[in-house]
Amino acid sequence: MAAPRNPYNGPAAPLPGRDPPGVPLLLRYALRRLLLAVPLLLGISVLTFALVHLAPGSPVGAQTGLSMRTSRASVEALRRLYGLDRPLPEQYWDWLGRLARLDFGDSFRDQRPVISKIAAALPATLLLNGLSLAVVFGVGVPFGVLSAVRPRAPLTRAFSAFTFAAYCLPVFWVALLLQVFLGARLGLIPVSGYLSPLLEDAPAWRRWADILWHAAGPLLASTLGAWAAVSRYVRNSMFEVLSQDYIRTARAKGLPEGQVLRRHALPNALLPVVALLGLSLPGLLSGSVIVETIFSWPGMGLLAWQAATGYDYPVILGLGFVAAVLTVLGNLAADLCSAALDPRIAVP
Amino acid sequence: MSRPAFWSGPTLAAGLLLLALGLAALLAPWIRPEDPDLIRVALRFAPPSPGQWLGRDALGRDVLSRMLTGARVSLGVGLASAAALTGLGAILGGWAGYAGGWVDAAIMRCADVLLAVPSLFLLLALIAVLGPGEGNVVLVLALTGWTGMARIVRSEVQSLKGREFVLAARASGARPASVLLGHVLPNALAPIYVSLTFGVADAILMESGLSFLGLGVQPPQASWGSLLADGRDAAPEAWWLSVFPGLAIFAVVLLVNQLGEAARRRLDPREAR
Repeated sequence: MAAPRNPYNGPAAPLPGRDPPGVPLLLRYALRRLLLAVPLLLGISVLTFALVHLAPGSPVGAQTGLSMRTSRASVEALRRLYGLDRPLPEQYWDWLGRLARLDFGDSFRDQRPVISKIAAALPATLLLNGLSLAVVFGVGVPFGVLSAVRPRAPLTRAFSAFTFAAYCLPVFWVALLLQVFLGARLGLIPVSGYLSPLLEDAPAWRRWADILWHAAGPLLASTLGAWAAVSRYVRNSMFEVLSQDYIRTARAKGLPEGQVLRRHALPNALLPVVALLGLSLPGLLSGSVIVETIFSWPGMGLLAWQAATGYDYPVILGLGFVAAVLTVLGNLAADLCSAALDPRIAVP
Repeated sequence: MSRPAFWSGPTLAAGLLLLALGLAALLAPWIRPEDPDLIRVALRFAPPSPGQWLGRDALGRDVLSRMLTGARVSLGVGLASAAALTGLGAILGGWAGYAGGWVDAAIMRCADVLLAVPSLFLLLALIAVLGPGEGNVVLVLALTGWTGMARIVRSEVQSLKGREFVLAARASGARPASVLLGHVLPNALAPIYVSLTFGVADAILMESGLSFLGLGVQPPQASWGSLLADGRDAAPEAWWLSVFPGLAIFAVVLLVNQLGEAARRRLDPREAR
């Protein structure tokens, strides 16, 4: 690729740290980030391995309580599944191999392979969280921008009081109120579930409409607080940008305010939002545990709750690992998008 | 250039309200209208009225009395876990920032791993392994929640450790632990306080969430979260069961966060006009 020519004083000197011949900057950044994810994944494997060893049946957890947790069958099953009587390094090596093959053993409850239970629950969770992300950012970003641009308007003030309150609302309470009042009393939204049993043989569009209809409650509950958080974040980022010198310059040279905002302020203010998209993943997945449980939405969150209350260790450990891997991948994707939009990030 | 006093206006109001709530929780055994576990089947699902200001539940137990008793658990577990995670985070973050090198790398990589696992999945796994109950809730909230505090304290300590008074302490032969605990950390208290306030709000939310899911305090003991769970199982007509405990959680979290916001604004140099 030819270096861009500087029309004023001959060929441009290459910028330090930029595009040396060979591998493009963004690709090198992607490889570096991918390499950094490896120790993180190893750390997650150690964490889950440690959890196995706290479980009843292992020397550490054997002394504790309830009959359900220390029933002979489950102790024996754990011992067999994880080979708890072998030397530790050998056990960890085995655990690592299992994680790499996504083989988490069989569920204690119904003896189905854990990975197929997780795979069955994944689409519902991805659908709900995808919709949540769309709503959270679709509503939060415009509101955040608006409240930064018009900080003194009465509507803005009312809105920022509302976002502060919404941010403090317990998700499970909102979900419960929606379910009890909008669902059970007024019949405006479905109380729980995913797809009405009557529609299982219906045409695809009917089924999709029904699923989306059932998503209304969980979606409202899971987005309210997150939406408030995003708009506060965008507002602060926008404030920061609006106080910069280049905005003053743009205004001083007589650009109309709308153009200052669209061309100069917004692109810079919204850059960190892309990274926020990745950072909000763990919170969203956490929130879906509560929301899915309340609305019986058959995703990973509901599965995690069922596994935790039923002491189904293989399932809960497998879910923890898969959720962590999803988070790492999500963050990676968001970082790469940020770097693609703003090449400064990719410079080592 | 005198700034208005910290305890004034809405901040003072929030502080006083929280103080009143805390006192009510402390004095619950003496001020509650009746025994929170007293079952009066004849009065089951009695709506709010004089005699039972916040109504009665499926077993005819007085909701106000149960909420006052539950406040002890919700506020107590919230404060205890926030204190525990702050202590853990301050010590680990302080150590990482002060020692640097491989200690720093090890502690902060652990924090990265904990942050990568969505917190509720980790909490559920820990609770499944350790069993439910108040003590374990405090333990798991501290074990999973120290990372944010550690990052804050670490960066504070890194900026403090080159200052003259720290060098003087080291030159006079103080051991590293006593330099860190006696000289560096006391100067990093302000951001720790701010973060502690938000930590209390988060911990109260987490505890009530876990209790709501049946993984926190176990019946017959009440916390605001488990009271809400009772409301979930009751008929939708018994609206008081799902409204009042949630309102209590919401109010406390809102007030605590308001204190935190006020403290943060106070400390943020950009806000000092």
